[in-house]
Amino acid sequence: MPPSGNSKPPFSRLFDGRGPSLDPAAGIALVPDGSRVVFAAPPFLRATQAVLHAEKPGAWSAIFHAGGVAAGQAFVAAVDRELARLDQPVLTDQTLEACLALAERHFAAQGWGVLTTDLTDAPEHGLVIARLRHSGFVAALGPGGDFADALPAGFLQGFLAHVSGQPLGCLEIGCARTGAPHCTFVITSADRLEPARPSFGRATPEEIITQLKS
Amino acid sequence: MPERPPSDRSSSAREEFFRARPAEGALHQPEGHRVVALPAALMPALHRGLGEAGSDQARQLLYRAGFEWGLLDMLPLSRNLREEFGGGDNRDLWHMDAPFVLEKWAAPFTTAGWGASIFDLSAHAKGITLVELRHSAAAAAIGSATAPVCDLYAGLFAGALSFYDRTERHAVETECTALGHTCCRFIVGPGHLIDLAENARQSGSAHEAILRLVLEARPPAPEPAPAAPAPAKAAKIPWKK
Repeated sequence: MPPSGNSKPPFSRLFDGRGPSLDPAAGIALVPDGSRVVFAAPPFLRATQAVLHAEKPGAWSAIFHAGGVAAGQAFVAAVDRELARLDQPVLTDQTLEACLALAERHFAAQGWGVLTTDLTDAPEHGLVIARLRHSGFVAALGPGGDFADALPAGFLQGFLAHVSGQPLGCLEIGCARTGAPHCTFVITSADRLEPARPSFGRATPEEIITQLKS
Repeated sequence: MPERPPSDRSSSAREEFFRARPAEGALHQPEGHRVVALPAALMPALHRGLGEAGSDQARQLLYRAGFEWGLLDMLPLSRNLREEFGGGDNRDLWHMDAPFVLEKWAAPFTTAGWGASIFDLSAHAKGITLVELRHSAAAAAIGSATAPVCDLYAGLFAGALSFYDRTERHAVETECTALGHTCCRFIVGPGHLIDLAENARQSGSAHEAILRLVLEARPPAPEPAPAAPAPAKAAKIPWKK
């Protein structure tokens, strides 16, 4: 992980402060780094989730997680190119707090919800906890038994693994879709997450975090 | 086929087409629906994650997801149009002009970055609708391919037209930008015609030839009345000697 600190990187100047752009005649939306994006309303998410859940259980989450990982990697690469253009240190040389602040901003800009990150357990236990309120995926899918936020989880994994240079994993361990007050993600080395996986959906996020600390 | 860059009419997506609620990290369409941005990287993951790229299973799943998407997406439009026109017996979606309904339905997809659809309803009386899709997000994300890749869109159009026509429709993509065509073309219609079209496509026929085939096809012969069941023959069971 990059070092902790309070320095403020010039993120407000990234991509000259541009937001996403849209060609309304062509139906092409681009994010500031030039990559294409689509804005999905609830019917798309509900339909893909329902059909894949019925025909190939587990595939929807795995696919959205994989897409999120690739998106996180692409995002950090684009930000690094932009920082280099601005003659600023790349993300691996920025503080962890600054990188997480950028991720939080990205979540809101994508309509994914309000992300807050918690580094309390990072120094001693190597755990970064992230919480998502007002998840757009939960809002789209509505109440249910499966977790909704595989794509944001994948994004955090791809983003932070690239920033840290370590093979990190990120999994959602609690989801507002199942009645929790917010969605909770844990980010740590990938091999530490696997033993805790059977507890996901059965134990509370707090219990899983305690298990990961032990 | 490379995507052309956005025209000079490009504008800030969030400012004009989506209302941002920063306190909730939310984006809303003018009609009120909340949307989430999905990165281009999701499309290849969706295709790869459903089986071998281009496999029948993957294509079927994407088509079915698209079909469901089209049906689900027509429901709120139907409700909104009914409210907009004051309700009443003749205010259902299917009483309204097809070009108006389909344009109204497709407009939010265009402003959400899914590409631009043009509907040709010249053969709608025969149950056939032609769709031209420019700048397919799926084809742009997948790049070049050896078969059409917009199965999700094919299902979407089939689902939406099934809702509007109030009978089951299916769709086949006959041209795709992932194959080097200038746009993606779909034929939407009754299942037997789409089977015909898909067989012709797989045999290498071009869009125009497939379309001619579909437009000139005779209606299916009525199913013969089921014959009286034949008396059961004494089963020959080779392993039971």
